[in-house]
Amino acid sequence: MRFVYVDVFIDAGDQPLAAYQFELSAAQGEIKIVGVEGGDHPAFAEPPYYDPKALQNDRIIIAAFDTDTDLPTGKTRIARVHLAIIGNQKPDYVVELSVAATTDGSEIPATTAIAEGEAQ
Amino acid sequence: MSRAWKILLVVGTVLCLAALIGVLVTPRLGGARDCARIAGLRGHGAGEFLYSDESVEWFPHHYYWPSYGRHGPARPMLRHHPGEELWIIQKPTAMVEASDKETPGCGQLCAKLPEEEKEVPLPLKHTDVAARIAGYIATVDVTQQYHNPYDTKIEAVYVFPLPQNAAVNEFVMTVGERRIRGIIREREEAEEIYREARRQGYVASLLTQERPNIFTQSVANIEPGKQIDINIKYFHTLAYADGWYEFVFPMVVGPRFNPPGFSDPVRAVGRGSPAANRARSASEGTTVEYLKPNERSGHDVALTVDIDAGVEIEDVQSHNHVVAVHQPSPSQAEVKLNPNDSIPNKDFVLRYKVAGQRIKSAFVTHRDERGGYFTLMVYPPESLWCENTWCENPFSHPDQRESLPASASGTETRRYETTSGTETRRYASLPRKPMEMIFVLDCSGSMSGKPIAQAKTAVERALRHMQPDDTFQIIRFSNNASQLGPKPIEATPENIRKGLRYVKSLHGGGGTMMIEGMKAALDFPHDPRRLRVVTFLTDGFIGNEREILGEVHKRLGDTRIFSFGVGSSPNRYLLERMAKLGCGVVAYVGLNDSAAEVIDLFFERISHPAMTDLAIDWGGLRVFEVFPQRLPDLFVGRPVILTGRCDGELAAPIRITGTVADGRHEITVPATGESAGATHDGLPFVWARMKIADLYDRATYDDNNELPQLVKATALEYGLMSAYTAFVAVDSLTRTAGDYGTTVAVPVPVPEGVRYETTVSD
Repeated sequence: MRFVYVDVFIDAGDQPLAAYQFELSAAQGEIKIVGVEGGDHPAFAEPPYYDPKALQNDRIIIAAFDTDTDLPTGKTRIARVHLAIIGNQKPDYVVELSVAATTDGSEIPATTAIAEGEAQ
Repeated sequence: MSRAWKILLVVGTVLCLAALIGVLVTPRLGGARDCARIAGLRGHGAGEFLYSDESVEWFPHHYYWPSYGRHGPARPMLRHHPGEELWIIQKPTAMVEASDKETPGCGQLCAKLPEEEKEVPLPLKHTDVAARIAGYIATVDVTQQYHNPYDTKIEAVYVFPLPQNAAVNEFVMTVGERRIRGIIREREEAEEIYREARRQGYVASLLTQERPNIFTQSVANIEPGKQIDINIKYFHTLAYADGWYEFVFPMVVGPRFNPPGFSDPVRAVGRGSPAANRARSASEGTTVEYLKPNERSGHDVALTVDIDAGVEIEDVQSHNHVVAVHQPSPSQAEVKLNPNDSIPNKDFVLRYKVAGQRIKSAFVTHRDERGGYFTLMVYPPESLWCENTWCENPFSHPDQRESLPASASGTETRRYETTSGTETRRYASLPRKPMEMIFVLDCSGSMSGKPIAQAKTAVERALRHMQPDDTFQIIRFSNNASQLGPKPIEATPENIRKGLRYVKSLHGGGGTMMIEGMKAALDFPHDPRRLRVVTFLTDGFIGNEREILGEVHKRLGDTRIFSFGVGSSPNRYLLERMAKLGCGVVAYVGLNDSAAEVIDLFFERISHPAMTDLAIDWGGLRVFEVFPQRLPDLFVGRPVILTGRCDGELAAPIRITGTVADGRHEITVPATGESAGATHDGLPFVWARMKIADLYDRATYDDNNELPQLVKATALEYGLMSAYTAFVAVDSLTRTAGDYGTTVAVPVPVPEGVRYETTVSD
C-alpha cells in the first residue's frame, strides 16, 4: 500500500463557480480514498463532503457548494483527494464532472484536470 | 565566599536533590539528565539573559529588567552587584529527550517533591466543545488539540467518552492550516490503512468505537513541537425528565472492572505502572491509563452550549460545573463553562426548564434525496396526573417536601421546595398495585466513599416510601452477591428498620461482579399479586456490559427495571439500556444531587400508572423502520422519543393511544401548527444512530449473524461511527522521517469522587 494525493482542478471559464460534484475512479489499479481536503480558493477551502453510500460500491463522489459572492473563476484547484493505492499497478485516474454550477443554479460547461503527487 | 558562589552552591544543591528525586521517583521519565543544564555567562537560548555591569534583578520565567525604570509590584528576585559573577541555570522549556520506549522524556516532573501534585506533560493539551441545541436535538463539535511536547516523534492514543446516543458523522484532521476530512470505512479496513500510514511515516488519525460511549482516538507521527487537531461532530437527542431538558457531555471514562477471563475488557491501569506495560502487549480490549492521585495533566476543557429552545427558558442549572449563563432573548441561552472548572474529571450536565406547565408532544421531520425522516416526542397524557399548579409558600429547608392527606376528591397533594419556589402538585390517587421492590446496591471499590453514601441515602429514602402491602429485599454485590434475606420481606415497620440497619452496614470494596447481583435479583421467586420492581444503584463501571444486558433479557420475566446511575461519571450506556430492556427508566444521582429528591421522583413515577400498550395512528403518513421497534411505556414526567422513516404527507393529527389503569387514553399531535412544521437536518443521522443502537442491543441476546452486518451497512451508508466502522484520515502530503516513534497514551484523572487505589491496577 502506498499513499498519494490527487489534486482536482475545475476550469469554469469566466463563470463564478459556486457548486460542483465529481466522481473519481481508477480505470486500472485499485484506489481507496483516505482523506479529502479543500481547494485553493477561500470559497472551497473547507474539506468537501463525500458520499459514504457510494463508497460502499468503490465510487468516490465528492461535492461542495458555496453561496458567497467571492467565487473562483478560471482554473482552480477545488479539492485534494488523499488515496491509498493497493498493489503495484499504477492507477489510471478518471475524473467525471457531474455538475458545475453558478449561484443561481445555472450549469457551467466546465472542464476538469487532475495532478497526482506524493510526499518525498 | 562571595554571594554569587553562595547562590551557586544553593542552586546546585537544589538541582542535585531535584535530579535525585527525579531518578528515584520517576526513573522511567528521564531522571536527572532532563532536569537542567548549567549555562555559562552570556548564554542565550531557552533561559536567555543579558549581562550588564549595572545592578540587575533576575526574575523567574526568564524576564529581565534593569533595576531602574521597573514599575509594578515587587517580585522575588536575586540582586547582582558589580564585580560579582552571575551564573544562570537554564531549565528546559519545551523539548525534552525520550528516555524509554513507553514515554518520551519529561523533565517537568523532576524538580517536584513526591508529595506535591505533579504536572504530567501530555500529547493532548486541550479539548474544545461547542454545542448548539435546537428544540430537543443537539449538534456538538468537539476539537481535540494534540501536540508533541517531547523531542522525538510520537503516536498519541486517547480513550475518551461520548454520549451513548451520539451519532458521530464528521471527522476532520487539521495539520497546520490544512483540514482533511476523514473517511468512514469498515473498522478492520480503517485500522489496516492507519497502521500502514503510521508505519510509512505519514501523519494519520483513526477513530474507533470500543463501546457505544467509549471511543479511541489515535494520531500517528506527530513531530516534536507540532500540533494536530481532530474535530468530531455528532448529533443526539436530549433527555427530558421531570420538567427539565438535560444535555450531557461526559468528560472521562470511569475505571472499569472486568470479570476474570473476559475477552474484550476495558482495563484501568496506572500511568507508567507495570500493569500499563502488561496492557500494551495485550492484543484484545481497551486500556485506559489513569493519573496517580498526586499527578495532574495540563489537559483542560472549554465548553459552550447555545440553546435555542423556541419557547421561553425559565431556568438553567449545572450541578457539576460552574457556568456563566447569558440570555440574549427569553428563548435563548448561551452557557459557558468557567475556565477555573476545566478539569475533565466529571460529566458536564446542563439542565434547563422551559415555560409552560408541561411540554407538548412534538413531531419533527426532515426530507432529502434519501426520503423522509422524523422524530416524535410523546409526552405522557395529563390524565397520569390531574393537576399541576404553583404557589408561593416557601418552606425554610431547601430539601423539604411533605405529603398532605388525600383529599375527599380522591387526589393526593404534594409540595416541593424547588430552586424557583414551591411547587404544589395534586396527583390522581389511583391506588397502585402492591409492589415487590428489590434494591440491588453496587458495593464495589469504585463506589467507595461518596458514591456509596449517595446510594445508601437513596435506598434508605426508598425504604421509608414502602407501604404496608409492599415487600422488599436488599441485595449487595461486589466480588459476590449477598442479601438481607432469602425471600421478599413484608414492609412492616420492624422490617424497614432491619433493612435500614443492613443498608447502614454496607461499604464499598472489591470487584464489580454485577452478573451475580443481576442473577440474585432476577432469579428471586416472584409474587404475582405484586408489581415487581428491581432498582439497580451503581456507577456501572464494568467492561462486560453486553454480557449483563444479555442476562437481563434472558431472566427479565415480568420484572420492571429502574436503574440509578450513581456518581460523577456513571456508565450511562449500561444504565439506560438496562432500564430500556426492563421497561423502566433511568435516573442519576450525582455527587452534588439530592439522593432523596431523586428517589422521591422515582416513587412518584412508579406510584402512578404507566401508559402501556401504545398504538399510533400516523395521520395518513406512511411510516416504516420506527425505532425503538418495541414501543416503550410512558411514565409520569418521562416522554419517549421515537424516530423513523416516512413517506407522504401528514394529513391528520397523529393519535397515540395506550392503556392507563382506568382505561384507554389518547394523546394527539396536531398535523398543522408549530409542532407539525419543525425540521432538523440532523434527523437522518439521529434515525440511523437509533437503528444501529436497536440492532446492537438485539445482538446482545439474539444470535442472528446478520445483525452485525446490518449495523455495519447502516453505519457505512450514513457515514456513522459504530462498533464495526471507523474514521480514518491520512495526510499523504506529510511524511515524516523514520519509524512512527513512541506510542503515548493520554492518561486521564479518575472521576471525581472515585478512589484511585480501589479501582486502578498498578
